[in-house]
Amino acid sequence: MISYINYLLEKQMRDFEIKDYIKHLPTAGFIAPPLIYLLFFGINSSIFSAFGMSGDNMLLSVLIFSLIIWSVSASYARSVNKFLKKKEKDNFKLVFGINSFAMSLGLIIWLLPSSLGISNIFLALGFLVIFIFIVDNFLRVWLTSIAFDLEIKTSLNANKFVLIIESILLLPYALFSMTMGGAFI
Amino acid sequence: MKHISVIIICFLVGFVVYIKFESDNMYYDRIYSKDRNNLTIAERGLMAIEREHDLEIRKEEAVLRDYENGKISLEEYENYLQRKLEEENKENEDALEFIGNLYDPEKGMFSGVYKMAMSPKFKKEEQIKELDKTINNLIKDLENENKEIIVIKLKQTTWVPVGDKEIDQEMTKFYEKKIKVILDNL
Repeated sequence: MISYINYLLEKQMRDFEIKDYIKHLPTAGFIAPPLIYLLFFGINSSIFSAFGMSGDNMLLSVLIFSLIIWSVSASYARSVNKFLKKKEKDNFKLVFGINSFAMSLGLIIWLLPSSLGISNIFLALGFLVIFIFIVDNFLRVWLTSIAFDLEIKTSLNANKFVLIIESILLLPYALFSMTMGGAFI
Repeated sequence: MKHISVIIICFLVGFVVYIKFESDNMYYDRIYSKDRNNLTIAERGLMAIEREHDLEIRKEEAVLRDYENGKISLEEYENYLQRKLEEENKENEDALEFIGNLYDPEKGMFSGVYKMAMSPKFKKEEQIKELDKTINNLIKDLENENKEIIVIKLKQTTWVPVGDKEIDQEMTKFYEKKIKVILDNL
């Protein structure tokens, strides 16, 4: 019993600490996409420069890619916020931050040069997309649950349209790659 | 205040990356020409490798300078060289293994496509198309060719095993029946 109370207290403390950070999510979600792209271009600048990309073009590309992520996050946030409005917990900025942050994490996994130790490129791509899908959406649902004091079930319900869209966008691609990689033979 | 510091961080990172791009472009302009539009993809790839190599040499020179100026000890310098050698060897081994496995039918890049093409189901579909076409052509040839030759050819038309016992049994029986019906009608 005591150990269970300790566990609950520890969990409460953990949630409290996370909640402290969560208030910074709108800012973090806003700056994460351009920062990630800047770092990506910075690390690979010799390759991109060799292929004719100038500094101005790089900045323009960062802006375009960031705008895409911000707009997708904003549309996701609108959908989740609609659900939260019914529960009188709506906060567009925070939901936008959560979505943009989750997408940025997926972006980091995507941009990191990793084949997961699999020489079959199609299979590696398939697994990578599934991994991104899981991490991305787990973070999205978990952060929504903590930020708005919701149960995971309710958080899943709030994110249902986002999950459906993500499944439609990512899973067919993963399935195709895995079929080409021979995962179902 | 928080927003201003965030904007400053973004601006600084952007500025550093911008300068890096400009310095890389200047390097290429100096080594190659200002007009690099006519270069092929392979040439551009080699340029990038050369630039990376150049940066690596500069880094090595900086470490060597540190050693000469007494900033690092002989042991540290030797450790650096040893670590670098090990990293290079590992990179080369990994690259060789990757290239070696690239076209491996079991685990290579196209192993899925290869396995799909070699799967009994795929072979079955292919053989059905082929056998049906052969049988139809033989029936069409009845008008021009000798009937006995066609009968021999039909009897020779059999199912070739594709490596799946169930499929092979089913299809062998199916074509035996199909050819028997045609032969009976002849």
